[in-house]
This record gives sequence, structure tokens and C-alpha cells, in this order.
Amino acid sequence: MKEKESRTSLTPAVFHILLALSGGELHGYGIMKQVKEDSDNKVAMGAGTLYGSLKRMIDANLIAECDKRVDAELSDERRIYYQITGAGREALSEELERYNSIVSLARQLKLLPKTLQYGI
Amino acid sequence: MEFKKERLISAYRRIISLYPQEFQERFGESMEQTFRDICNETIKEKGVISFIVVVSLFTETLLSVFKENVDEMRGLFMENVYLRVFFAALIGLLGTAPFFIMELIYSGGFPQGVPYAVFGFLFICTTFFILLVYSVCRTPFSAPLKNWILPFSLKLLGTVPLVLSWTHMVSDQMPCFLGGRGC
Repeated sequence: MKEKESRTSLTPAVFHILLALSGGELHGYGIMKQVKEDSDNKVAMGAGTLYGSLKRMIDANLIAECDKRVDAELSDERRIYYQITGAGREALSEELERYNSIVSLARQLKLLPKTLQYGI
Repeated sequence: MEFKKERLISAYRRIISLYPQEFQERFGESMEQTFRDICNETIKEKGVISFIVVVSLFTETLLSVFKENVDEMRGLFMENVYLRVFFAALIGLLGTAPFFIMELIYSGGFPQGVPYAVFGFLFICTTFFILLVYSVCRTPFSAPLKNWILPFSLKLLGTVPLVLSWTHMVSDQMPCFLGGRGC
């Protein structure tokens, strides 16, 4: 029987964008802020990296463009919002499974710091 | 050092114009909006847009401009067979021309004494070598022209004699190229 074909691992930028969009539709700057928040300010994505990744992700059908609308918090300009697709959710969950199995292995090998060792 | 927001936006617009046309049309406006948002938030938080912030924003976008242009060129190169052959022939010509010129200079006169066949062979070898190297290096994902691709072992078999003959030619002609007399 043929095993399920596994996807190649996602780049950090793609992973963080998918994670940010899993909570709902966001525009470009919204994604940047969400990524920063999700990573406790550890990942700061520039506009070049963000839109380059968005282009590749749209082409790979991981995300899709939604309609243009105004974000009242920022300005009255209309912005393009992006949403995660079914394929995007699948890719994200595969990546999370991969991380999970690595963490499990690290736990077995007692490589994790004590605070994480017992899921504290 | 402080920067005026409108000036920065205008400079950023110029950087966006360096992206490939298709990218600009799809994301140019959104990128400008995002840059404006970053500027507004930086001013709100710190009062000014510092030199370090400007350098980091512009450098990151310039790197992305470079990457997108390289990707675009690579895409064109992958899709277009004629462009690929032209590119290989151009490298073949550039690899052969210096030796041909040196031979012309040191053979004591045109057209006697110039081994055209040798240079023709050198040009063809280099061109085929580049085409073979390209097809060896191709990833399996970029295979719209899969039928053109020979098995890997055959490619290697073809590449080795070409490399050997090219190396022999170069080592033979190098003394002349470096200005040696009586070669």
C-alpha cells in the first residue's frame, strides 16, 4: 500500500503566516502584527519577505485573497485581506505534527529543559 | 537622524518599482500601505523614524526585490527552451572568444594558421556542456520539458568527455592567452 505522500517542511515565514491566518482573515500589516504577537516579538517579518511569501503561498493555493475592505483601526484605505485555504490548513497541521513528533523524541531523549519535560 | 514620512514613502515607492511588473501589479499598492502603517506605528511608539529602522526596512525590501527578479528570470529560463539554448551558446561564445582572439594575435595573421575547426569544436563543447549541466542540476519539480531529459547516468557519461576535451583545449591555449611566445 502506498503511504501518504509527505509534504516538504514549510519555511519559517510560511509557517508563521499560516499560523497567523488560522485565526481568521487578515490584511498584510495585520499578518505582520499577528506574527510578531504569536512569536512573543521574536519574529519580525519585513514587507518584502511578507509579500514574497504571500505570492508563493497564493500560487501554491495555501492561502487566497478575499475582497478589499477598510480596517477602521488603521485608516480609511481599502485593503486586501487574505484567508487560509483547506490545503493551507492541511499543510499547517502536517507541520505541527512534525514539530510534535520532534518534541516527543526530544522528551524521550530527555533533551528538553525541565519545565517542558513534564508538560508544565 | 530623522526622516520625513512622505519622503520615505516616495523612496519606498521607487524600490517597489524595481520589482517585476507582475509582482508590482499584484502587491505594489498593498506593500506601500503596509510601509505607511509601519511608519505610522513607529512614529506613534517612538516619535520619530530612526536611521536604523529605515535601513532595515529598505535593506529587507531590496533583498526581496533581488530575490523576486532572480525568481522571475529563473522561471523564464525554465520555461523557454530557446532562451536556454541561447544562454548556453552565449556562455560557449564567451568561453571560446578569448582563446580565438589570442590565437588570431599570435598566429601571425588572419586568416592563415587559425584552426577554425578547433574553435568551432570548443564552442560546441562548451555550449553542450552548459546545457547538460543545466539539465543535471534541474530539480524534479521543474519538469514541464521532462521528455527532453536523459537518464542521469547518460548525462554524466556525456558530461565527462566534454569536460575533459574542454580542459585539454584550455590548458593547450592558456600559454597563448597569458601572452606566451611561440605557441
